[in-house]
Amino acid sequence: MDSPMGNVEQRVVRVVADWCGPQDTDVTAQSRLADLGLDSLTLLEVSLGLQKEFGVAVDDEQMAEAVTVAELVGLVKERLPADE
Amino acid sequence: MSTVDSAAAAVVCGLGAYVPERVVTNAELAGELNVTEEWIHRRTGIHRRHVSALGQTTSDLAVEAGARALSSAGTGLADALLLATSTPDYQIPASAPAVAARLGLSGVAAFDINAVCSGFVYALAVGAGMIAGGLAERILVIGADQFSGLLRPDDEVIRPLFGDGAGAVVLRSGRADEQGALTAFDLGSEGELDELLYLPGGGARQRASGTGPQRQAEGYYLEMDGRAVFVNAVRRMAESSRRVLERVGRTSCDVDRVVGHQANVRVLRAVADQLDLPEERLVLNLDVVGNTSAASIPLALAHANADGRLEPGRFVLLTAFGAGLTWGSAVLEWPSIKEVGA
Repeated sequence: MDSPMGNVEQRVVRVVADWCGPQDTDVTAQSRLADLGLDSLTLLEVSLGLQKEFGVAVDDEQMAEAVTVAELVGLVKERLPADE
Repeated sequence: MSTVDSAAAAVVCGLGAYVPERVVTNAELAGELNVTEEWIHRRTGIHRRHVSALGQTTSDLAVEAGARALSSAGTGLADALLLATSTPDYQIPASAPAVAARLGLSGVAAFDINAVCSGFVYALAVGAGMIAGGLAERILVIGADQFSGLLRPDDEVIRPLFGDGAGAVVLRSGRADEQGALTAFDLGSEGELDELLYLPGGGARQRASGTGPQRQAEGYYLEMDGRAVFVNAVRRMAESSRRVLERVGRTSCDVDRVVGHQANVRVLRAVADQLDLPEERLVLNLDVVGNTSAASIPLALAHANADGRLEPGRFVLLTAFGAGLTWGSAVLEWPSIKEVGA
């Protein structure tokens, strides 16, 4: 497998970090989105970034309900084909 | 849509821009809207915008920009005038004939094109088609809009976004291998989503509702589903950009400058990300003019041509998205253009 599940988490973390802008806090799977200084537009940017990274559309409303980065990872994994 | 190669090509040979004198800063708006300057800037990338004076209308802005574009092209003449606008002086007639008359072009073909914020790219495509079809040799294409009068005074989300302005280019008949030739277009629409960004009042829909001739205050302000517009803008501009590049056998790597519709800096950054383009290639001027709708691309072209961000030979991608929904893209190699006041 080119993209084992473990890498999905790293890739989601990277997309979130890319759109959080410069800040001191390191983004991890355990990060709470509310602590990352995201505003409503950042979630849209992350959603578009995830779609580009994984080729799957994540529902904006479900994105908005996610509390942690790990929950975003879960949303992406639900949508990925079984072999990824 | 196809590449313009066998017939005469439309070549950009003049450029002009105009913004009204009055500047409205974030500080001024922040006080009125009970938000902070920083909040407005962080969400939009906009510091200030220009707003028309009392009595100044879209056609006034268009005339100023059009005159400068004609002067830049070294001519006072054109066979046709296309005005991209969704804020004409009157619902009937179109404003283009009046603008033509005031520019000394009475008698030429003149009409408005309404694709809202994509209108200027649509108008370039129509102009290129008229030149390819032999209907005109030289066309003045103006984008002008005056959204300041459509904004609910207490709307903290929409009101800071928009400013007034106008920009124009002159197209002449030429060859596709010349600098300045518009070599390909991509245009599209998705009318199922017409109410994501719209002004409900003043049109046939309201008249047909039987509310009578009394003008209701409701419905005369711009309404927007900001989240949906944001996502659609990014997706549609990125897709359209890829398509127009494919038509000329290029990829985003070849693009020196992206002159996108100046709606929101965060939309444009997300488009650059989707296209794997470094942000430095984005031409941005919305920090000083805001979203000027159909004027935004020619205004950005004029500012970038004046300050050296656009140099002859640069491969330039234009991409726009607007209410409708509509979107459109075009490519050209930037020509040497005489600058005439901005």
